[in-house]
Amino acid sequence: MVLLFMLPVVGTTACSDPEEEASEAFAALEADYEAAREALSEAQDSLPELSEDPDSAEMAAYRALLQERSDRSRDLINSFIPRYEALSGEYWGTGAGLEAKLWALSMADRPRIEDEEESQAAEKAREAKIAEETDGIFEEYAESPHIEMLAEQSYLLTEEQSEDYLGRLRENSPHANVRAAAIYYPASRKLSRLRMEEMYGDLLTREEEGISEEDEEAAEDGGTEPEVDPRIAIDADLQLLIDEYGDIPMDGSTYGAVAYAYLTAHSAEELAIDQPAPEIVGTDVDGNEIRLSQFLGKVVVLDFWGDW
Amino acid sequence: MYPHERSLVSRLAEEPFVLVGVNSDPADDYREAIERENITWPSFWDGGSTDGPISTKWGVFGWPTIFIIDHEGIIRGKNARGEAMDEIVDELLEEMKGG
Repeated sequence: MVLLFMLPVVGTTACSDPEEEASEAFAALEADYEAAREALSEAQDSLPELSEDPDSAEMAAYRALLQERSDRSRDLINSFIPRYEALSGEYWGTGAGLEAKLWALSMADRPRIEDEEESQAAEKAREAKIAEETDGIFEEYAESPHIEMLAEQSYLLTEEQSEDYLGRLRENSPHANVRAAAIYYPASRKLSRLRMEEMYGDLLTREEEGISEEDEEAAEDGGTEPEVDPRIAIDADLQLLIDEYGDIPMDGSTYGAVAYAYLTAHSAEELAIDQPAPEIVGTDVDGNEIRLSQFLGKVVVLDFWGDW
Repeated sequence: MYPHERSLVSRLAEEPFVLVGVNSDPADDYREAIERENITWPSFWDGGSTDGPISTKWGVFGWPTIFIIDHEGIIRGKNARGEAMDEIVDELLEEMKGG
């Protein structure tokens, strides 16, 4: 007679790494979300031909249809936010836990309330909640390599938080990827802003800060403070990234490569009509080299695009 | 976006014309788009993000952004889309043939 013993079943979770377990849970949730989005878009017919007449009944129907789609998409996102929050709570401290939290924060809807005062109050409350949540993230993840994600999404931070947290991370984080991110993202935001100002004049700053043209002229005449070129500090940070963090990966590129691109970016004059197109040496997605100059002799449409 | 580009590429298949992409998607999304949208034209891959080195170097912070370049490598058009893009391309092809 053979005796069969029940073998204890070894749980797959008991011995696995919490980071891995969290990543798997996160990937499963992402797949659910993608599937739900796909189901939503498949349930919709393609949009009808757009009528030329903006006041026509077709046009009104078209707008209503777009609004309805946008509402459905919003409902879908709202239904997923608690799931991302729950996953983040369960795996707080891991990379996937932080990624889920940042997803939930960045997807949170702006309040849409007709009454302006109420709407402003609701927006303030939303910002306060995000500030509180990001404080919590910093507390938990300050020493973690995963906080690079917060630096990347530092638009979620208030100006003070951003200066305080990213300043501390660039000095104190034990992880090179975090220090690099804390240097790179603020510099990149400042540069985009300078580029916008270069293109659209200083209208932007005046409107945002409520400075009138007269105030600005008066300040210039008074010459109270010598103007410091903001590029000096930014360029020093970019050089630091090249020198110290050149090989640290950033998405599919490196902090060094991107910093170098910023430092050597073509000016608006160089990219003006009737100027020779600067050479591009790059690769396709499989790593095969492509040069823009190999298309000389042909008319080229150079199309910067993304599938989003 | 894609249908217009595809029709431009197929209409000018026999002409000295090429559409060259600079793509900012993560590699997997990009490969999937190539297959799904049947993208046949050459494309730089810019490291998987809108912070990629080519976009950065060219000061691109809005997508899509278009530059039209003639057969001698001179920038002749920017941000023309749809029919306006087709017109410039046709003019440049004419010009090239000494029209």
